[in-house]
Parts: sequence; structure tokens; C-alpha cells
Amino acid sequence: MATTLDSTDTRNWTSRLRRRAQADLPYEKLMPGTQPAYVASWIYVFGVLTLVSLGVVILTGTVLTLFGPTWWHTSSSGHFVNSLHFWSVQLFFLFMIIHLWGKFWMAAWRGRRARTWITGMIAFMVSVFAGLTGYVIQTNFDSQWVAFEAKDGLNAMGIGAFFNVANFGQMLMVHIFLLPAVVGLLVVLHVLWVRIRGVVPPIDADRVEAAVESEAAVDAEVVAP
Amino acid sequence: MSDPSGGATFLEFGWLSISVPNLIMFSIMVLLFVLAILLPFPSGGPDVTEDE
Repeated sequence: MATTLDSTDTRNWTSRLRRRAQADLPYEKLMPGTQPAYVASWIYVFGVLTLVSLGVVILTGTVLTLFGPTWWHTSSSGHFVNSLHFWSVQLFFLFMIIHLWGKFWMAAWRGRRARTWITGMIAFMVSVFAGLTGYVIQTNFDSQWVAFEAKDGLNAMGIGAFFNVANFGQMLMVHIFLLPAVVGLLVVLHVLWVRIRGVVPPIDADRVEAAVESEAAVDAEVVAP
Repeated sequence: MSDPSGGATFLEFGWLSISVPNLIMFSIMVLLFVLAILLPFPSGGPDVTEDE
């Protein structure tokens, strides 16, 4: 059977996926060098601040995995890296929530951006549980209290049979693998959809654009009647 | 001065019970949000798309 290198072959999923990716997300949209003028507002900065703090969370978390869950008890360096991890998580949530407030009040799901909104909401909710499992695996009196309270919450949600806050191994693995994988995937999808659809314009963008265009038309008439 | 190792002071407003540090954090976040809306952004340079 002769193989073909015909790039218009539609019968395999690789070709179809490649063409779909090239159509929806060419490199110019994936890695844009410019941004619309309305993005020049501080409220649009909180998304990337969230991403940067997530990056620090992952970096410090990776260092913590190399030395194990007693490092922060036995070493001042471990204590320091653990503290960096803790405070970057606090900043992550701070920036993410302000990002959420901005996106809600500017109705950022407009213009076929529902998936962006939904992936953001789910990433937020999963992050809460990632933070909870992080609190539980501190192995100090605080984490003992958190576990004591969280067991009631998980039982009330009906998942207490599957997630046992007294099972340190399960909590550790959920925290360092399962939930970061889910959050990471959701964040990647979220950012890709922002790239595909573009940053959401302000609610009154159409009216402002129409006003700018009519002003430009009036100016053109004055200059060359 | 408050004891850094002690428990937080809680404020009660009917159904709402919130610690002072938590209230401070929330106030800072609201302030950041308002400032982000109101503060002018440095004017765009060459990295502005002409039309979208």
C-alpha cells in the first residue's frame, strides 16, 4: 500500500486536527505582538499576574517535591521554600479573584467566549481544593485542624468515602499530582481560548467605535469637502 | 500590639463573622480592583493593534 504525503488528506484525525488548529489558532494569534487599544487598562493585568503567581507556585512546589514532606520542618531552607510556596498561593488567589471580578463585571463571556469563562470558573473551584489539600499536608497543628473541619465538608458533599483527609498519602498525591494536572490543563485551555477569541472588548466598544468613525468622517469632510 | 502567635480577633455582624486580617485582605482587594479601573494606564506605544 503506497503511503501518501498529500496534505489535503482528510481521512486521518491528525490532518483534520492540524488544519483546525491552523485555522483557529495561527501563530500570529497564538503569539501576538500587538494588542487592541482597549487592553491598555490595569484591570487586564490581573490575568497575567495570576499566571505568574501560578508559575511560582509550581516552581516552589517542584522544589518541595525533591526534598519530601518533612523538609520544611527540619531545614531553614525548606522552611523558606515552603513559605514562598504558601505566599505565592495567597497571591495566586488574590490576583485570580480580582481577575474574576473584572471578567464578571465586563461580561467577558460575550462574543463566543463561554468556554473561556467556564474553564476559568472550574479552574478556580479546583484550585480551592488544591489549596485545601495543601493546607492538610503541612503536617502541623494547623493542618490537623483544617483536616478536622474539612472532613465534615467533604462528607457533606458526599465524597467523604472517596477522599479521606486523614490519609496523608492520598492527600499528598492529590495535591502534588492530580489537582495540579487538572488545574494546569484548564489553565492551558483557558489561555488558548483567550488567544483564539481575543481579549474581550469593553461593553460599550461598538458605540465608542461608531462615535470614533463618525468623528473621523466629519473631519474628512471638513478637510476635503 | 496584637500577638502574632495568638488567634485572630473576629468581628460579628449578625450572620457574618469575619476575622480582622481577613477583612483587611478583602478591603485591600476591593481597593486594588477600584484602582485598576480608575488609574490611567501608560499610553500605548508601537504594540497597539490598529484594528481588531
